[in-house]
Amino acid sequence: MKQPKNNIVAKFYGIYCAVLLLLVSTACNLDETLYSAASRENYFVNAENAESGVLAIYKLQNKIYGNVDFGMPRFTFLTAPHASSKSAGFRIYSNYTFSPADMNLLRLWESPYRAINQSNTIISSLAKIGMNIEKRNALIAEAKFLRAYNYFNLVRLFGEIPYSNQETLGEEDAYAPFLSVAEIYTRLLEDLSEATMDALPDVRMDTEKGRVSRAAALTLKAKIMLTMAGKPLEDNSHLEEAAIILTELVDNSANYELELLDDYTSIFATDNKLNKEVIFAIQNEATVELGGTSISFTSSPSWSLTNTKGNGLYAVDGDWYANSFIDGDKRREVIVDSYYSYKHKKIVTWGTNPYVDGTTRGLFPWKHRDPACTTGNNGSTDFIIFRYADVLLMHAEVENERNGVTPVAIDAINQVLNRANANTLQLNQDPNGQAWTKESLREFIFQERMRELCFEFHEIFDIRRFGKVQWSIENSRDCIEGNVSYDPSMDYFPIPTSEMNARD
Amino acid sequence: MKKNQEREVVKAPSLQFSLKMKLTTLFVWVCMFEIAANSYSQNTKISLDIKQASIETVLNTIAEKSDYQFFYNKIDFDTQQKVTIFAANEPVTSILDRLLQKRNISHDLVNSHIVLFPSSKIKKQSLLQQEILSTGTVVDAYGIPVPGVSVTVKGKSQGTLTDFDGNFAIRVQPGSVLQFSFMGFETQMITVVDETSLNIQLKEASQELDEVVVVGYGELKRTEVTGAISSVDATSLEKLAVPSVDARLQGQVAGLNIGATSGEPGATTNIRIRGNNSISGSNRPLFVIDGYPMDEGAEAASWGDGGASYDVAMNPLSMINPDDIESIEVLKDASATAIYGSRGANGVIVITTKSGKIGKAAVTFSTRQSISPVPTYFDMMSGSEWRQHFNWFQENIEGNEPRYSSEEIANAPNTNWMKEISQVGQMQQYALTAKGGSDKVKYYLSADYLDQKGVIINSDYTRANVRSKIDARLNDKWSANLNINYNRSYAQRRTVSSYSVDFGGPVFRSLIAHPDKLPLDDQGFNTELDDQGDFYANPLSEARDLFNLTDNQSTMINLMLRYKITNGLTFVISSGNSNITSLREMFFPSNTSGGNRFNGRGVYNTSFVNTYRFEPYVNYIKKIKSHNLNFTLGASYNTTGMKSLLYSATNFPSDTFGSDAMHLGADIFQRSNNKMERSLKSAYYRANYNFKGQYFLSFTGRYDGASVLAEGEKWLFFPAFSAGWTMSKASFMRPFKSLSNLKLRGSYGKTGSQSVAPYSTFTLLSKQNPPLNGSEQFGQGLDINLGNQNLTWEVTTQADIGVDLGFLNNRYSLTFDYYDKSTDGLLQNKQLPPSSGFIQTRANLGTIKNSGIELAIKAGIIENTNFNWSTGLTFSNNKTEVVNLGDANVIIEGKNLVNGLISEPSNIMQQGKPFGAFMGYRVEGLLQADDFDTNGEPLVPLFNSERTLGSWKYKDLNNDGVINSADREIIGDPNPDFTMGWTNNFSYKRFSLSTVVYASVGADILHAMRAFNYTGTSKFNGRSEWYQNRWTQENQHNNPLYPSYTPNTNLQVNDQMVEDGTYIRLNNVTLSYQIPSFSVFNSVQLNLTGTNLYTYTNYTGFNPHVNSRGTNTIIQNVDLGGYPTPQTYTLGITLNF
Repeated sequence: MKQPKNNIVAKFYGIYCAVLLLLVSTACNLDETLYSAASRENYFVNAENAESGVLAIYKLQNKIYGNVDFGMPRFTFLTAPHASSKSAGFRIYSNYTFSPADMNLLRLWESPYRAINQSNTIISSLAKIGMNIEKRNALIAEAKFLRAYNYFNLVRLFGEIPYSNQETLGEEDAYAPFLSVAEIYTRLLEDLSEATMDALPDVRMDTEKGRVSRAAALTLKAKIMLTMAGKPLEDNSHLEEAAIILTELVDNSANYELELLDDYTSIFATDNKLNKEVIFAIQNEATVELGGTSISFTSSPSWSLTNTKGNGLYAVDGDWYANSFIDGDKRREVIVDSYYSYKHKKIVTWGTNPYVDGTTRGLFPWKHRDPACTTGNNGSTDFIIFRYADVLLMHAEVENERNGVTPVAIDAINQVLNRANANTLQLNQDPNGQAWTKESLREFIFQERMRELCFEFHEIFDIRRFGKVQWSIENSRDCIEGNVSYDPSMDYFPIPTSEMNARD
Repeated sequence: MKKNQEREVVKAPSLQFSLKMKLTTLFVWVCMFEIAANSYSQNTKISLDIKQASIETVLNTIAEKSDYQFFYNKIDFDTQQKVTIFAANEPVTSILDRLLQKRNISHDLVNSHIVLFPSSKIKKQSLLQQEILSTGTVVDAYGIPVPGVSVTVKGKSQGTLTDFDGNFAIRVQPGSVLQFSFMGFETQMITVVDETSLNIQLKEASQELDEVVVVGYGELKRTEVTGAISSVDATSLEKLAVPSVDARLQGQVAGLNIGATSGEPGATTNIRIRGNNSISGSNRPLFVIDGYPMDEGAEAASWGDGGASYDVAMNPLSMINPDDIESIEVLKDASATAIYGSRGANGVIVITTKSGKIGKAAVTFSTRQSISPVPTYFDMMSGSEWRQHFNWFQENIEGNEPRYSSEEIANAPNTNWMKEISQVGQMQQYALTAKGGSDKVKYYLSADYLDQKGVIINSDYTRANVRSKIDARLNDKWSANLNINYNRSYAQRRTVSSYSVDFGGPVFRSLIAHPDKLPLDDQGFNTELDDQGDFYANPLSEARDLFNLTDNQSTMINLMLRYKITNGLTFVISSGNSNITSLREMFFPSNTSGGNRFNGRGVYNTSFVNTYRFEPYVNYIKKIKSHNLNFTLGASYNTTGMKSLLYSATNFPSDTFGSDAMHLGADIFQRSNNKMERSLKSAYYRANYNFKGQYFLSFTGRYDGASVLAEGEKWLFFPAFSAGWTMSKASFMRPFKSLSNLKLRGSYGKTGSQSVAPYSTFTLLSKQNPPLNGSEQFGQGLDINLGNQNLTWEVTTQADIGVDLGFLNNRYSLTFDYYDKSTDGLLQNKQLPPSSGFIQTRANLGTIKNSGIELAIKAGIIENTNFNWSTGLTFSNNKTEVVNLGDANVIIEGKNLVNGLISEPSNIMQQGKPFGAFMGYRVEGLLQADDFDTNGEPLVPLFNSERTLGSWKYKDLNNDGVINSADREIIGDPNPDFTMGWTNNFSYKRFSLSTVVYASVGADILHAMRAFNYTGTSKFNGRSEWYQNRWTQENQHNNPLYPSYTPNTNLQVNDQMVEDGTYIRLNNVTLSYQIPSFSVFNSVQLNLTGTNLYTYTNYTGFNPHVNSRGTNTIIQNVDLGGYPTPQTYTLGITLNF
């Protein structure tokens, strides 16, 4: 009696076990399905999607400068001798006392690398997509330009840096080797090869306006070559090619739709973006989600006479302002010299308040003024990276370096000075009435670049390639006040702690 | 079921049968019940209060309360006689004696069955019949013969002992009552009718030892448990009036730590069993409600916040009304949790809700009404003092003209902002339950509504629950259980976890706002904005005009079907679905600090989380002689789908419509849409074996597959093993009569965690739309997380040894556990070199160890008929050690304390340091005149060049002459050294009193409000204490607690903010009175409860139990203006119909 019953039990048992295991093992699988986000493996597989990958690089670029990320103004402008900040939290940049663990230093580092990684991914994805060859080459050229531009910034800011032109597929690819400064420049010139140049249009049509053009690539290439000629490499071997490029840009500026605007102030106006003077700009737009910038806010006086208010974290040294521009120089108009102080209940003008006043450490470099910007991130000012005046000054500089003071050099500079309503240069003598030397013109060009391109993120790069880091620190009020003296380690910024820690 | 048997007995022809036949029938029932009812809880002591009711009603009531079943013949005596009886925690047999003896009714107890018959029958029969030979066998609950049982005839000196095989033989007169007694077992009595051989099964003596413990996919007797499992029953929970179950559990279970985060209505708690295991994963235990595992992180708040950082979710346990809970089991060690393998690593809390019972419908209405007095305010600077200090600041720091004239100082308003935003809190709760059933269908239905207004204006919380639990016996083979729970909770929230000053919320604002501003004006609340750059915002605007709503709805449906294949073998299919719909709506009008600069800011987030579950399993119970086997084998499929839509916008033309008209926001701040899925597949088993109820072995295992892990790494096996020995049952222990229980337990096993976000193995793309030529273009860019194609399980290995001790029939008991667990392959974000283009990847890295001891003591100090006093003590000590994080240099930082102001993390993880330790600067004193040379040049390193005398002097820890973030070190440990809970229950006749005391010792708190209130920073209000003692030229000192002035840039996380958070709190006092039944009421109970009555602490903030970051894993014990925890007084009335 008992034995058969146990068999029944055993059977039931077996059947149910089998059934339930079967049910569970087949009812579902454990593969993951992606819904609202794509992964890189399955997305960059056709021309349209690949183009969206290229456009994303511009957005990553926009984040470097825009929004609440003040990276570039802190490190490129505040480090200049004529810059200062009323905020102790910002003075650590102007007096070089920030630590390698500084969050803003990290942003300055990681943002371009994100753009580079995106470029690497897109370049390798594009190679696998069957599509129109010209279109593909144009997209690759665009990505290569942006990669080169970001590496160029990084190498100038940090010196010897990790370099990779391959996409990071897994953790094992995440530890790119450090390359020497010279080696990195070589790679950058490879990226900006003839093929790259040829794939880019001279001028972008309206539908693609704002994207990289041939003029932008030529400007970048010439700037790289000029930088190589300066400190610390002092490699003059590319100056000739730079001269050819710059001559091409200046002589055929109409082909590239480039010119100097008559009105200096209008170059930066929010209603005149991407004007004919602009060669390449990081574009900001408040109406685009997370596409606005705070720079108008951070560089505006706290409570101005206009509606616009800001927190005035960046300031231009008053003495430099007073000594650098002649009356009538239009470039002074983008620097605010008076504002209404709530606390003092009166208008404060330069000169009435001494520099040592904790709240008023100078004048406001209001180049990026946006009347619509009322808060931290709703400004729409573009960050103009390359403009035609810069090309003219580089043209003069290359000419001076190669051939000394020539009409070509003086003429290029005078175009810029003329427009600014400043005193133009004579070919036979310098402004002090002395005969020009190569050195004195070089010095003039340096000073002129500070005046013309003030607060346009060129300062630290020019200071370094002109070999003036020590001079800069010794002439900076914030450094003097902070008891900071020059040390060779200040030639570059320190590699952020996060990078070094992750590599241990 | 019980009642119908009575009726059947009454109505069936068997009425005419002899008692012998009835007893035979009875024994058949007994045998059947041994199988069916082996999980009955045998509570022999009950309380009764019945007036003028029939004997039948009384018997039914006893049956319902005690699980005894009555067998009697209605024609034998008048069951409709009216009687009145009151009993307070009295044994059933004693109640029956009182009730029945004078009415000439005798009763006999056989197992859980009580047979009633007229006393006259015995007499008659005994007179008529000669002595007979009564024989039989005595066995224990496992059917094992018990030798040496004393068998005596009640009322006579006659007696014998059972032999080695448990047999006995004794000559008695028919109708005599035989008494079987043996140490450790309940004494049994049986009336001898004829010479039928008797089979006596003795039950173990203690009620506690007979307790049933709900474990994963089944139940076990407490005596059979070899893992570390603590149980809490309804009676301990019902006495507490706080509205959520987790708060009621505080201090009740050793090893379970419940940390409150805020006193806000509906606030969540940090629940930890045996410490923190994980850094990036969750540390919250798995909650299983009636077999249904709950999902966490289902709230819209946890999906992003539109930049406002209001990411603290509401209490997920609000979805259950604690008064519906029958019992809670806390599964702590690996052997207990391994059956939940993949989700068991943090321990499991198994909640069993109340079920219907056989009997006529019982309807209960209860209500609670609470009030909470306004909290105690801090003594802050007066308006005049503030203006004076501000003038000093203007003159001495800013070099400006003073702002206020002496007249303005003298006439300064003096507003107590905390008072302005406070109110008397209130709570009302109403609950209606109905339960009952027949042997076919049992039901428990309940609905409850709770409405709470917090002590800060406009903070409120509303909750409604409807629960239905139906148990149905479909036929001999099939039974079904259907659970449906609907919940809605709705909260207007006023305290927030903000990482920026702008979004600090009203409590924070009230602590920093200038006291010289008026709280009201004719314009409303919008005139006192921060137009002077003083960080000022009107706290009243924040409290009144801010809209911050969490609106959650959840439905949980679970159907369990059981099929009895044969005796002992059951097949169960449990399947269910839960849906959580959550909405987070916020609106910061332009007159609040969060909306001012954005011209109004709205957030509207919705999420839908849907979990589907299917779990078939078999249970097999087999007893072969002394060998007992209980086996479970099953499988599980669980899939969760999550959808969310997040939308936030700024620049509203009008504040009138708030977040109801999000389309009016001209600028989109954030919009995103997510859809994700995760699923889990498992097969599991548990085999429990015991020999004679004395030696126990248990093997548990689960094979789990998780979709979120990498291909090839999805599956892992989690085994566990435990063993136990009830030493007190060994023969050599017999001499120790007072020792009723001594059990040694040990377990070892593995559990896992897969709590990573779905798609962590992919490198995802996200929207990167650039503005080009003025318009938005479509871009898809790489995310900052690099997909990890090797991602696998986080595994926790745990060993536990425990002792259970019981004395005097377990009137005194003690449970002790020591555990040691190690979590390896920690799921965490591995930082990558940013030069890779990625910030991090999810990886398995590092080890955390937890070890500790747990002690639980229970004592029935006084047990009288009228007066009882029992006490319970729990003690837990857990030590968490961050053994490694994959790399000695790795420091995992929590978010910054306050963005833009104190932009450094407060809590960090570092190898060899306490879990979530505080990191910050050391302040070694105040800057004094002699810290500068004669030229005014500093002799000590200055922080941010700050040279104001009397300001903080930070310590240059690395001696590099510069104060920067490299000069930080561990400055505090937020983990308590130990926690204790002490409960007492007194009862005297109809009164009962219970108290709960909770203590947490040795945890530090980062009282971040000190950065604002004790630093003299000009923009914020300060404590009066600081103002009186601050460094001034006249009052020079070196006490860093009272600096002269600190600029905003120098407000950093530092040791001056770290305070000892030790506290002892009288959590709860409840006084109850039971009114005898009257009118339509069976009984009425009145409760008066005081919650959070007294706290002993040196902490200077509102509460020593606080976390402004809610349930954030890394950031613990940070107080950034935490919502005060109020005292609460509650009157409760329960009416039983």
